[in-house]
This record gives sequence, structure tokens and C-alpha cells, in this order.
Amino acid sequence: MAQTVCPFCFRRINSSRLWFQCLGQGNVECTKEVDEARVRLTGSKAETFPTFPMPSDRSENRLSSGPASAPCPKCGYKARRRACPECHTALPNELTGSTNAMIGLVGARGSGKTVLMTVAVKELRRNVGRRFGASIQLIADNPDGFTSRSAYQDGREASLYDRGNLPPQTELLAARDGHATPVVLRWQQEKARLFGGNAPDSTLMSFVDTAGEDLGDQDTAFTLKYLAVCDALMITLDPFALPGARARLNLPSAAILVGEDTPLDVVSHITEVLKVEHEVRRRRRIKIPIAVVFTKIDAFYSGLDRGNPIMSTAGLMPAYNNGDGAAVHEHMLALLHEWGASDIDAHMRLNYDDYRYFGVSALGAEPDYVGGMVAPGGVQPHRVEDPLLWLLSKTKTVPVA
Amino acid sequence: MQFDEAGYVQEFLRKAGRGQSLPDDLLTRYAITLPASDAEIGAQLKAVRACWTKHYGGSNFAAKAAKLCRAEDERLRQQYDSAMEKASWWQLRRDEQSAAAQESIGVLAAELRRAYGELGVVTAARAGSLAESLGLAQQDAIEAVGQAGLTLVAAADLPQVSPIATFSALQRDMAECAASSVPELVHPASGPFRLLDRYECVGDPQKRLDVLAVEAQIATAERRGNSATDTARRSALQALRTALRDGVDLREVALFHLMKAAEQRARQSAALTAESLERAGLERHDAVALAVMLFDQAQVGQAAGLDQIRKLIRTGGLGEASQIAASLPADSSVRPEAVRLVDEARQRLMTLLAAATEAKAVPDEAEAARLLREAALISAEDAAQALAAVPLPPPANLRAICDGMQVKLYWQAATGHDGDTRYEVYRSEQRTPAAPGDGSVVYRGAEQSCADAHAPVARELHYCVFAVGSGRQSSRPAPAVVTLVPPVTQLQAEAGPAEVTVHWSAHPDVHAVLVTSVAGGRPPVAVPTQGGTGRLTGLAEGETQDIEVVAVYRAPGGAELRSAVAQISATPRSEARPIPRLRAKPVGTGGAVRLLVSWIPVDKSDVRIMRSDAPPRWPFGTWVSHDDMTACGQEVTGRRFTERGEERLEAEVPAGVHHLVAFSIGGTGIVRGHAVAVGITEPVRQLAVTLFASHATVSWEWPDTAQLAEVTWKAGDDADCFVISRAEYRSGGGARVPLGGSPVTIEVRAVVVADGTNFTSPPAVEVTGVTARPEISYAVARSLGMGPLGGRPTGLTFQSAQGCHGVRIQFVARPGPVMPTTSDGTFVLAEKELSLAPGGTAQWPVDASRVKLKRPYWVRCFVVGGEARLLDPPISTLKAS
Repeated sequence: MAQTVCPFCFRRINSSRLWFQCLGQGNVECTKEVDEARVRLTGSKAETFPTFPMPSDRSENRLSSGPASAPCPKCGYKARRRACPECHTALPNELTGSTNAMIGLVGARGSGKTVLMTVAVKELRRNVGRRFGASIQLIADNPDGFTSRSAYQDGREASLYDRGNLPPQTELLAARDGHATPVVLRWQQEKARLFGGNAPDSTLMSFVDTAGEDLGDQDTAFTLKYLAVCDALMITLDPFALPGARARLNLPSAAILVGEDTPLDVVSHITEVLKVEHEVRRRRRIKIPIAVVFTKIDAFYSGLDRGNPIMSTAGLMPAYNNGDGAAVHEHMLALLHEWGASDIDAHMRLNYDDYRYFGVSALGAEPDYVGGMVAPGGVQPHRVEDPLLWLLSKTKTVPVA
Repeated sequence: MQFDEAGYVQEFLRKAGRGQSLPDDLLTRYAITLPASDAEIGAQLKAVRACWTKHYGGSNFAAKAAKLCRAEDERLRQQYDSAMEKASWWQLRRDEQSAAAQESIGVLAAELRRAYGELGVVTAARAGSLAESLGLAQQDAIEAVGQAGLTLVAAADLPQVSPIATFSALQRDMAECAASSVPELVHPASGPFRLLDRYECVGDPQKRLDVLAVEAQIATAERRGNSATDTARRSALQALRTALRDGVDLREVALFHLMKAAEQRARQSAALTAESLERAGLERHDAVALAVMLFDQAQVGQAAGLDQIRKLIRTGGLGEASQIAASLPADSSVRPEAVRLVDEARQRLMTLLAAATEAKAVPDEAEAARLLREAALISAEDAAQALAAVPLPPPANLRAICDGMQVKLYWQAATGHDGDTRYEVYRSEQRTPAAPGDGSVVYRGAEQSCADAHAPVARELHYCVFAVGSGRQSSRPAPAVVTLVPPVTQLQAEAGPAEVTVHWSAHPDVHAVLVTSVAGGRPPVAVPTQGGTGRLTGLAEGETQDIEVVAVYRAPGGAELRSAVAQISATPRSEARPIPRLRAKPVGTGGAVRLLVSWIPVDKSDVRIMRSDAPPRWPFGTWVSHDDMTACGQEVTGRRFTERGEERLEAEVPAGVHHLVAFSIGGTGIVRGHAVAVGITEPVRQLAVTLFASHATVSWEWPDTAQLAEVTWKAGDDADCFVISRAEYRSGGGARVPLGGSPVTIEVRAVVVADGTNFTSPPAVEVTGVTARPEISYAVARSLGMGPLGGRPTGLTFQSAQGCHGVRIQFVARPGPVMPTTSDGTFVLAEKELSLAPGGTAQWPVDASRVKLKRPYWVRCFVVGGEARLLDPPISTLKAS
């Protein structure tokens, strides 16, 4: 039985026993309706055709992944589209009988998660895909709560890249009916077969933009569910919240969106949740890889030596450059100590087995914080893909060099 | 005793809030019911006070009453304090209240006896309203009626309007045939009858007021003669029959008839009314009851009449108010007040009418109208009559302007003109028109301007505008005087190689047209004319002729009047040749981008450059009309000068791609020359360079018109130039320029493509401050990693492609997990000066045994003297953990 996680409702599901979803093309009229299960588990009120399980006589064969199609009980249409048995959201066919990587994205409110996720998703689809010879596509029908992929691209990407508008502060989960809709990407790439030759292989990545304050409320069911199933986690931290770092800059008050104690608080909250949800025993550390991402690093360019690895790029080889990543980690660690934030490193060292620091900039230049506009030169991302590639290397999706 | 809050609010607070003060009944106010214990009283007071607190914050009747209750309660608490919470206190209040009520009942009984004692009956409604005014309950009213020895009668449902439409005619006919009542008409000489509950003839209860009875009387009447009395009787009976057929109850008609007959008396005395009703045949009991009801109605009606008078005086109904006041009985209590109100209003009206008459005499029609509007609020009828005699104010600011061959007139509405106001414009040649219809009509309508296209020329024209409106006299005239001397129109010039011909159009009444020409500073020359044409010949090619044309008119007295001068210039030219080559490029001047167009002149023709978004539709050398030329785009205008034998035009044009075409205007027409496309774009703005390890990211703000940019960089001997598209820029997060050891000069130009050619904007330039520093890479050799002392650094190897000289290097170690970023606070394991030939290497032995290093620790090299950049080896060789 292949256990995987639904990238939309974060329930653990048997990928060999996925349900079917009708396309409404049978002999009898089949109508789209709001699916109560989907509303309850994902908050999405999109109307869909009926979602139904595979016939019981066939589902009992535990050795196969079931039939490729099943007739719709309403209209008789031979449905091939698969859906999550829990939330009834349509799933890509690649999920059948496979696993996928759940990469979480959490951080304090104002630490730049939304901008980072928008730019990282764009970079993955545009530049990283080319670098790895992979096809990376958005697959959710309502990424990040938008009504469609085109609406997401217009509301998030075109808004940021073409119109230069910074996204507004992400609403707390409480204001979003307790749900956050993920951005789901499919990484499709040729991989060597065991007995020679290549075959296309797919991995799904699910990112959820969760406002940091939601973590403060550990009772938030969605957050718990989400963190419990993450295979890897990105934690964004705003260096502007560190007094030692902020002292080196001349920032406008509008740029400081996070309180001074927030970075360590956020990391502590996450640690507590992960320890509980991943059932970490006393005197044990958390096993899942954690990328600690310091955003807005462009503000420190002028103070960094050109030879500093943070100021270089990892190169264009189709693999994660581990040596470069290690160098950046050590330099970020040195910076943390210079900024007087060694308590964050102490916390990470004592609670996590596998973590790495990253310094990234999604915008590349200081935006107009008051006007909410990107710098006149546009979006100039720096190293935003590094944390994702490191985490993907941990799940064996990308090779390591 | 349970406090019913909803009932208390509904029954007490809301009702009490409608009055100006609270009722004196404290037990009702505090919802106290006796007998009650002290505890119950206390609880009730607490609940009632809480209710007041809950409701006093609003703005409704309940809130108003709650506020009054709280204030009164505060006063009572100050006076009686905790005594209020005792049952004995409330029993005392109840006794006081009972005594006061008995006294009031006595007063009420006396009043009832005085007013109704003669008849011995009173209506329940009347007794109730008098009781209420004394703060008594309905039960008290009944007690008072008993004390007064009166009988209480229930109010009957009296008709307030006539049950039939022809009641006036019926009333007249009954008067003519001496029928005192409807029962008397239908059942003559049948004796007294009752009507209040139902019709009942006292002598014969079988009689009915129905159609059979009426038909029988009609038949009887028809058998009689044709005297006026008989005719009136038949007519009255027929009216009753019609009413019966329409479903009307004749009892109501009979009752209404009696009421109307007793109406006048009812205002004066109930006893007299009863007597008259009894005379009309109504049985005594009904007569008394009806008389009392009518008397009560009249009392109420008189009070209402005063209110109506006040309202009528406020709304322009003084006449009606005056009539109502006059109709009030002489002994009515409200009559003096009604008369006073009417007299005062009439006095104010007279004052306003007199002031309006004075304003009209000034004349100030607007002020007069304003005063009359004020008067209309008192008496609309009088004000309207006076207003009809006040003319409208004349239009304001009349202006008469000669425009070509017509006179245009403009005016403004005066105060008091409205949407119904119309204007009439008249013209006269001798004198100012005095009134509408005096002179020739020029315009009639609601607009505030007009044009006189038939105005005679060369004489004084007197125009007047009148305002006219329905129901008002027309205004005084608003005058204007003007003399029309129109110049020639449609003046055009045609130039040939040696001649110029001018054409014009003149007014039909023109006496002569004088044409003169001036050229080359010589004295003016008269041009011979014929009809609407003048012709100059034998002119030098290229010499501009300034031509002036004047129209001459004769006034009625014979005087000569000259029009304004019309001017035109023309240059004799030979046949134009097309411009064979036109060049255009953007140039940057003072930070702005301008267009420079140049061509080599081929003749003396007038060359115009037109620009448009598309290429011209005619081929090179096509002859076009002037209209075609102007329709093909906008003319490029700007600074024109000659340089190196070229004619040049520098102009500002909007950014974008422009198609330019040269037109040569000669003596025989306009010919299309060479066309060229040019792209104009603003320069890039906000150029920024961010330095990274091996490259610089160049970013800028793109101008809207450019999709491409040209990036040029120069560093020492290295240089390159590349074009980057917006999409590439966005994908790469800017443009990348490699960095070496030298300062880099970066220029960025916006590029716009027109007709396959790249046109660039002026550059934005940035010079980076990169200093030349040779790069030195190094590697750390370590001993075998056995035991705690294993893996210690034993030597260093340096290598540099560029070479270096006199660079002082420290090799340091620092315990702990954090990498050293400077040599401060570290153990120096080695320090030497390093010089390397290009591509050379050097090796240093290191003795780390003198320093006690415990894992984890770091080793690292730093430059402490000289110029060089150290490239760290892999982290794994620097960190021991």
C-alpha cells in the first residue's frame, strides 16, 4: 500500500486507492455541485462533478493500484480523473501509486514568505526547470486561494513582475475559514531506469503560505495537520527583526514588519509543533530537513565582501551544489553571530538533526515599503531556489554535486 | 408583585413620554400594587429603576419618560430616602392619591352638571376626555357622571360626509316642499321617530324607510299638481329612490340631514339643538343624545378651526382663514384669537404689497418679485394678482458682436428668470425697440444667444432683448447698438511660378473691394480685381507676397465704411521636385530626446515634414492635394536651420515609431518625397549596478516604448555590447556584466525598432568602483586525522593566475563552531609576505603544534597587507569538527 499525502488537504491517503471524478460526459445529465467534503477540508467552494470510489469488487485487490477508470454512478461516464478520497480534490495522475514531497513554508508575518514563494515558484518554472531539463508546472486549479491558475499568475506574478506591486499582508487563517490553499507544482523529469534507458518521472511539491501568527496559536488544526505531514520545511526569518542586523542598516520604519523577539519565537513554536506531530522522543532531535531562510539579504550586499559565497551564485549545473550550500551556511552562521543572534543557532543545533542556513533575496533591491512597490529595476531574485533545491536533494528529487 | 417590564414600557413609559410631564400617580409610575411587603416594594423599586436606566439612553417616547422618571426619582429619594422602600410610605401615597382623586371627581361632576345638566345626558367620550384632563381614570369619570345626576350615552356612529352626491339638491328640494326630515318626506304626518340606533316610527313601528315607501310617495306626488312644492317634493323623493337603488341606507341620509340642519345651533347650545331636532320630529331621547354629540363635535371643531387658521396663514390661504374666523360663533372662546391672527397676517401682507409696488416703481422688478414671493406665503391669491402686474426683469449683460457677415448676440438670465422664461430679440435701424413687436424679429426662444444672419450692413443696428413669461408682463428692453461692416471671407491664394491669384467672397451689399500687395519692403501695390478675384503677375520666384483685402461699404448717408483687413501671404514658386532622401534620428539634448530630420533641398519649394503611425499610402513622386497632405498626419514643427548644405529640423515628438514623409509645395502643386521611419524612445531611468562575486547585475526602469535595451560595458581592455529584451531581463532578474579586476563603465540605451532599424535613446551611464585585486587561491594540507591531535594543518599552498607582489597573509585558527570572518581574536599560525609570478604557486609549512586546538575549530587565511583577494578552499578543509 503506497501511502502518500494529499497535497490539498494534507491527509495521508493510499495512493493505490484514489477515487474517481466524473467529467459530466455520460448519457444522463450530470451536474456540478459544491462538494461538502472539499469545503470542509480545503475551504474550496469550487463546483465539481461527482467524486466516487472505485467499485468495491475491484478495490479489494490490494496488490494492484486498481482500475484505470470507473463508471460514474450518476451519468455512467467512464471517469479516469483521480481524486483524493478525503477532500475529493482532483489529483494529477502521477500521484497514483506514487509518493510526493510535501515542502512546508512557514515564517513570521512580514518575513517575506509570500514574495519568496511567488518568486521561487516563478524561478522554478522559468530558470530551474531549464537548468535541470525538467518541466515544472502549476497543477492546482486554485493555487494559493485564487480561482484559477491564470488568476494566480495575474494576481501574484503579473502583479509583482509587471505592475511592480508588493502583495498585501497575508491574512491569518482565521480570516480564511481556517484553510490555506497550497500552490502545487509538478516537477517532471527524465530519470535513469534500473535496467537502462530513461523514463519520465514526476514529483509533486506542495507549498503553503502560512502566516507566522497562525503558528502562535498551536490549536490551529490546519497548521498542525500541515506541519505533521511535511517531509521538509522552509522557515523564513526576517533579518530586519534582529537588532544586531538592523543596526547595520538605515531602514525606514515601514520596512520593519516583525517584532524583535519574533524570529526565535517562530522557530520555537515550529519546534514544539514538530516535536509533537512527528512524535519526537525526549533527548532526540527532529529528523526532517529544515531550511532556515534569511530573506531580504540584498539589504546587506554593501556590507558583504564580493568573495563571500552569499554574494555568488551556485552555478548552472543540473544538481544541488552542496559545497556552495555548505559555504553559504557557514557564512550565514558567522553573520548570525555578528548580528548577535547566536540563540537561533543554539536552538537549531539542539533541536534539529539536519538544517541549513540560506541567505536569499526575492526582490534583489530595496522596495518602496511605504508605496508597496518593487524597486524601479524590477524583480532581481538572488539564490531563492537554493533552499528548495537543497530540500529536494534531501527527497532525492534532484541530485547532489 | 412581579414586574412586567414589557407591559410597563408599553402601558406607562410610552404613553407618559407623549406628555410634557409625568402623571402624578406614583403607584403607577413605580408599578407598585398594594398590598405588598417591604421586600416586595424594594425589589419592585430596583426593577423599575433598572428599567429606566435601560431605556433612558434612546430618543423615543419611552426614553423621554424614563429620563423624567429618573430625575423625579432622584428628587424623591433625596426627600424620602429609604422610606420609599416601605409599604407604609406607599399606602400613604395611595391615600393621598385617593383623596386628590375624590376632589377632582367633584370638580368634574360640577363641570358636567353645568354643561350638560339642562339636558341630563353626556357622552362617554366627553366625560372621559374631561376626566383625563384632570388626571382621572375612566372609572372616575363614570363616578363623576353619577354625582352630576347625568345619564351616560354611548357615542353613535354619525355620518361625517353626505351619503349621497346630490345632498345639496335634496336639502334644497326638502326646504321648498317644507319637509322637516326625511322620515317626514317618506311618511308624511307619521309623528315622532327614532334614528340613532335605527329608524323607528314611534306611532307605527312597522314603517320603513325603504324603496316601497318611497315609490308609494312618488306615485302619490305624481298624482298631485305641478306646483313648485309638488315638483320639489317629487324631485326629493326621486333623489331618495336613486339613493336606495345605489344601496344607500336612508337612515344615514335622514341623520345627515338633521345634523346639517342643527349644525349652526350646535356651535352655540346643546339645549337649543335638542329643541330644534325635536321640532324636526326626532323623539326626545334621540334628540337630546344627538344634540349633545353635535355640541361636543362643535367644541372640538372650534379648537381645530384655530389650528387650521394658523396653518392657512402660513401657507398662503389668508382668504380662507379669514372666512373660517368669520364663521366662528360670536361667543366662541377661540374667535378673538382667530380674528387677531387674521388681522396680523393681513397687515403683514399689506406691508409687503406696498414694498413691492415701490420696488416696481424704481424699477427693480427682481426685488418686487422677491417681496411678492414672500407675500405669497401669506396670501397666494393677492400675491399672484400683484405679481401679474410686475414685469419680468430684463436680460443682463447683452453683447452684440459682428462675426463675419452676421451679428451675434449674447445675454444672461436675470434674477427671477426661470425655465418658463422666453426671450424675444428685435432689431430696428432707427431707434431702440420699445416693446416686443417693435422692429424686426430676430429670435424667439429660451436660449441665451442668437445670430442675426440678415443684418443690414454699414448702418447702426439697434437690438433689444425682452424677457417674456406666462402670466407676467414682458420685461423692459435690454439694448445694444452695433454697425456691421463685414470683411471678405474664404480668402485663398494660388501661387504660380511668377504670379499669385487671390480669391475671396464678399457681402452682396459691398461697394468695392480693395486689394494691395507688399513684398521685399517695397511700397504697397494695388492689385487689379475682377469679381471676387485679384491677380498679381510678373513676380520673382521665391519672393513672398503679403496681400491685404478690405471690403468697402456705403452708409445710407453716403459715407464710406471700411471693413477689417483680411490678410494672406503667397510665394510664387515653380513646379516642386520631390525630396529624394530624407534622414531622421533621435538626438539627446539637455536630457530630453528630440527628433532630428535632415534633407538636401533640390529647389525653392516649401518643404513640409509630416509624421504618422503608418507609411504614406502614395508612392514617391505622387502629386497630392493640400487636404491629402494634411490628412496624412501631423506636421513636424520645431527649430529649422541649415548646416553643411542640409536643411535640418529639430523637433519634439512623442516616443514611439514614426513614419516621416517630405512634401514639396511648389507653384503647380504638392509632391510627395522620400519617406523614412524613425523610433524615438525615452532613455532608461534609475540605472543601478549591484556587484556580486564574479558579475554585476545591472537593473533599470524601462521606458514604456522600449522592448529592447543595448548594454555596453568596458573594463580595461575588455569590452562588449549586447542587446537584451524585456523578457530576458525579467527572466534573468536584470542584465549581467562580468567583473574583472578593473573598474567597469556600463552604458544602457533603450532601443526601439522601426523598419528593421534599431534606434537608441541617449545612454544611462554607471561606473563601478571595482578595484583591481589579484585573486589568490589557497589549499590547506592536514596531517592524518587520527585521534584528537590528528588532522592538524601542516602546510599551505598558494596559487594565482594574475600573480601578486608583497601581499602579507595571516593563517589563523579559531576554536568553536563559527567560522572567523576576520583575523581578530584568532590564533595566528603563520604570517608571511607572498609574491607570486602569474600562474605561479608557493608552499608554506605550518606548525600548529604550538597552539592547543580543541575541536571544533576553524582555520582560515586573511590578507593583512597589500592588495589581493583570497579564494577560500572547500569548507570541509577549513573546519575541523
